[in-house]
Amino acid sequence: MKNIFTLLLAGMLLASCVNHFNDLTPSQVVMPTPTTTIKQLKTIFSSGPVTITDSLIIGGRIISNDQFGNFYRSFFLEDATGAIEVKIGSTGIYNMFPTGSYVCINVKGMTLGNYPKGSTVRPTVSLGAADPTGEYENSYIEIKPWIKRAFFRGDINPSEIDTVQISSLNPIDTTYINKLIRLDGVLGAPNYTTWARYPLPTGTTAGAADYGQQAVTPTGSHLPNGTTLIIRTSPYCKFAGKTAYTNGTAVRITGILTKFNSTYQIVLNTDTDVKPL
Amino acid sequence: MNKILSLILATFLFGSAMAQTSGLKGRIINRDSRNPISQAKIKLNDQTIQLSTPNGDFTFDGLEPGTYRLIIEAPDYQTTEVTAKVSNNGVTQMSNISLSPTLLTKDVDEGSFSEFDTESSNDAQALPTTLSASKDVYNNIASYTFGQMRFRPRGYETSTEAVYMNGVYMNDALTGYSPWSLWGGLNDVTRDQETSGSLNVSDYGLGSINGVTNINTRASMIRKGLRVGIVNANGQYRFRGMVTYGSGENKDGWSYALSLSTRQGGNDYIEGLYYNTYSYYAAVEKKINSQHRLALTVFGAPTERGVQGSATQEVYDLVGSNYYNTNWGYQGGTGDDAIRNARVRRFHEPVTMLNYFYTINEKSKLQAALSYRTGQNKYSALDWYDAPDPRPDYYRNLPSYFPADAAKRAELTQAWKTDPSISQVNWQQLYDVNSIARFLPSEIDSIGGAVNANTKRSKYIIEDRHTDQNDWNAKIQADYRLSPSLTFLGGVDLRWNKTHYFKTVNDLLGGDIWLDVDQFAERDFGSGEAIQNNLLTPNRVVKEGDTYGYSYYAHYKSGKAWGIARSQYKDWESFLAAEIGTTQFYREGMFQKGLFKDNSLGNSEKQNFFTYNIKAGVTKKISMYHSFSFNAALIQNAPYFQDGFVSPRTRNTVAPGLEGDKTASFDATYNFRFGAIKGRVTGFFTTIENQTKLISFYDDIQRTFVNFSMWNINQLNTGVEMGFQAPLIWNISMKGGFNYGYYVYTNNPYVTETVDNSNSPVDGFENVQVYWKDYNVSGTPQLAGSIGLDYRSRDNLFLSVDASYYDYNYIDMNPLYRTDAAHLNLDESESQTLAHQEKFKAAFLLNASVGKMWSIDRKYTLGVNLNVNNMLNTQNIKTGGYEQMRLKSNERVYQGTTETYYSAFPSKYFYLLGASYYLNMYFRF
Repeated sequence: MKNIFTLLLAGMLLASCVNHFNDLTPSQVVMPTPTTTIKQLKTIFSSGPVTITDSLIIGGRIISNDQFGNFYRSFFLEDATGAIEVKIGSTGIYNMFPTGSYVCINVKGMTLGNYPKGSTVRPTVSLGAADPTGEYENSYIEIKPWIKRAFFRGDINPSEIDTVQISSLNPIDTTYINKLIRLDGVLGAPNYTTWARYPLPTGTTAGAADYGQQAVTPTGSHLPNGTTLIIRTSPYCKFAGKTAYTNGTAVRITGILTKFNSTYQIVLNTDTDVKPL
Repeated sequence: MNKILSLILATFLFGSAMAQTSGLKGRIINRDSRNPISQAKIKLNDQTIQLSTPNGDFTFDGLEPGTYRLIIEAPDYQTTEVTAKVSNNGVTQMSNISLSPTLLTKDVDEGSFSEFDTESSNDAQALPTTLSASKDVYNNIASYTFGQMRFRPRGYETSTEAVYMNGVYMNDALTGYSPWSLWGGLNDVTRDQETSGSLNVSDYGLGSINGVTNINTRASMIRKGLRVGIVNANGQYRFRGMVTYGSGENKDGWSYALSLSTRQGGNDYIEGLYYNTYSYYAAVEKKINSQHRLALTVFGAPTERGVQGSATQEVYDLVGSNYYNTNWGYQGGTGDDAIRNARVRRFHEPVTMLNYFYTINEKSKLQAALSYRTGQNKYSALDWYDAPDPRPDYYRNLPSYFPADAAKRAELTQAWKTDPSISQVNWQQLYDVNSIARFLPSEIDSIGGAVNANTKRSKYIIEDRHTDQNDWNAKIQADYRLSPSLTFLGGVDLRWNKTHYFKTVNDLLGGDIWLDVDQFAERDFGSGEAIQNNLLTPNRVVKEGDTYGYSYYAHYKSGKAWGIARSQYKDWESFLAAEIGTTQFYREGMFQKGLFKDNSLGNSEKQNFFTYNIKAGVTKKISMYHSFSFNAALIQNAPYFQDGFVSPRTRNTVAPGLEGDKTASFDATYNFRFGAIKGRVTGFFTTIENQTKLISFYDDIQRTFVNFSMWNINQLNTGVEMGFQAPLIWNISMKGGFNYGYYVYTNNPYVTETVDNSNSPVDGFENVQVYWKDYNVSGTPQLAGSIGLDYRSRDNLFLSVDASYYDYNYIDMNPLYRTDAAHLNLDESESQTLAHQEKFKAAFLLNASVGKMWSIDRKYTLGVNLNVNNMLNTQNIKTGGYEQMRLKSNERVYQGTTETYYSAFPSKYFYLLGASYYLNMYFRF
């Protein structure tokens, strides 16, 4: 009897050793080799949407950051030839694909599309999934198994990001669309005191200000079809409602260059990407 | 009611004048070994109880001449009933009464039930209320047969079953839940149970409306000898080993008992479910002299068990099994050893109990008890900060989220069927995220020197939610037998409980630290004081084992004084009982929450409640074999601490409408015996009013965490229950049980939904009505019936088979679906769909068992028993489920205007296991 009790007691003492899991080491990803460039990929598009049937692979670094909420469910990828918006459809993308990540994408089955629908401006083309509703030219990839088989993350090195310095000698151009640019300029009208706001202050009416469309006039540079571009901030971003710089402030701005119809926009990764000079 | 009281009073008045002069004595022995059986309970006419001496002897004195019914009960023996005639010539000597050993059947304990994750359970462990080992045929069937369908007697909550141990009330102080898990695995030493019917009272207190069970675990009550038992099963655990020794009382009055047990392994159906539990028990008792007895009992059950998560039918269908468990994933491999469950309950809450018994004289007894429960109880869960929801069955990860996209649905469907990294928790991805997550420079500045640019910030962790109790119970009780027919019991029960609710980091999953801020507040308020979980230690970095998130104490104390008067005469029995008490609780916050800095730290207002319990019952014996019983109860309880505060994790705000619930209950029973057929039929009628309920959940519409406080919930539980047993031929007997209940809500309660971050009511959700009048109370089949055959051969071969049927089992309702706001812009048909309460399909089950027992040298007993449940292997029987606490927001154009409307999310379900076996082998002497 004594032995039986002793055996069970020993078992109880050993119990704490059960079910302990060791930490896992980070995944070792076998990176594919790019078979095409972003610029070449965009040439497949003439009018949208276009679903890619070949097993093409692009590779580049992520230049956007959704951590602050000003990008939502998509990231921008650049290589030496250009940059493209990738509608991956995840939230919290920066957790798996932080800014500076080298990412290869097998684009087979993905759809090139433009916004607004019908636009044939090739530089603004984005990469996503086919939109079965037809409302947009493409939609978000979104589902985990597709992301798992199509996206490969390599090293993370933000210093490898090529930030385009805009100046009189290097003015804004369609070749820079979707790339990370930096420019100096002066904030202009309308004069908003905060970044995009959400929720709206009581008594205000929804308007452009709530979407953070603040104009900036680049210093000494030239914009095709205009003299100003728009700083784009989302009312859902984490710095929505924070105090912005006033009209007339000279600033240095870093952000992703986009274009909607004829208007150039610069989309901030975070509010500190606008620095007073 | 008045008539019943009159009857009761009459029986008290008539009784004391009667005189008895005769007696009855006999001896209880083992049928096989012919050895005497000590500590057997001999009930005379269901009332007076004697325990047999070490020689198996018993004596009843002072009986009036006549015919008496004796029921003899002893653990491990079949209950036996005999009649005896007492003459007027002094004490009548009966011949030996032999008891047949029972085959040890399947143990029904807390391990018999999966613990399910639900959204509204507040992490407390609520078990079905059917774990008592009652001798009543119906109650026995309700436990052993209906129990597998999570049947709740009369549809009552688990807190209505009063569980005592050695006379001390053991139900959880803060939730009322029955405490079976405290002694899980200690089946040998908890087998001796005294049970009282639903509205009856016990020898230890009044109980509530769902019966009283007292478990005798004192050393002297443990069967003398050694027992060793082994169980192999494929239900909840794979293996159980148990060894128990009872010394019996030696000539110096000492007795001691020991028991150790372990339950290990998982089951054949649900991955991730496992047991790793050990239980211990030690007791010593000293009979100081014929008047004084002192007993010390210590036990505990260090337990680790994986918990099952519920899922929608879509998920079950995707993986092709109704036993899918969302809580686990592979870590470091793909074998069984690599299965890691995110939701694991770990607890060890040892109980120490001291009992003192003082027999003052033949008529008077005094007993006192002190018990202390302490230890840890924690429940793990995934926590994450600003990262995607890691739960595989999050609704956006399912094919149904893409109704218009066939390609995505097809790929997801295929992945769910074949890829565990999609269908289960993807631990590798969580580690990957944590390995690269870093602090922003601005965060490093605000945190200070605790982190730097290389610090890995865990975005996913496993947390442990603690509910660590310190629970003291003190009790003193006096029994006084005024006459052989009239007995008074009375006592005082006191309770102090201090429970620490907090959470700690269990595993950083490869990261270095976790930052203790409130991400919901951060999203709404950005930065500053508001996002701090504790302003006393702002921006605190925490590591494994550290407390974070919330920390508060529940302080609880209660006192009750009670008295029971019982009378017993030839044709009448009755009782009258009353209890009054007071309960006080308050919250003590240990963290100063940034959002509620003036209302989170320190003590809340003390909440005081007056409680009472009045019970009465009368039994009229038509003959020795036929009687009618009527019982009634009127009870006011205090609310439970867990329902007392709007958001106990964050602040001291008291829940609206906080009052005690009021219960009125009545039942009537006809006990019958026609020849060898005996049984009972009972009708019951109960109203429970003014209940409160608190649910906290993430509201997709509000996009934030909310608290849902409901009050003034009234319900009706009425129905009929019946049990019978009848011998047939060739040692075959039949037994059956039946319950037909009607459990509905009888009013439309009120609710206020509060944003957790602001303590302000959600627009349109302040003091609004929840329309659930006439909806069904969930959580149990309201119809249950069983019929079975038992066979026992003369050489102890046992066979039994039973068939059972269940229906009217309803889903647990989401109150949101039955509010005006949720029905905005719905047409009549849509409205009916949203408000509809699902009724589960009826179920039919077939169970069987076979066993054999050998008596060796009239000294040893060897037994083997095999139970098979759900022999038809039916795998689509829903035993429970709940509507998700969320509404789907949709838009459509109606008459040129875009309007918002809501629809229900799919419900989540639990299923009964398919065919399962339980093989029990034991050796005892």
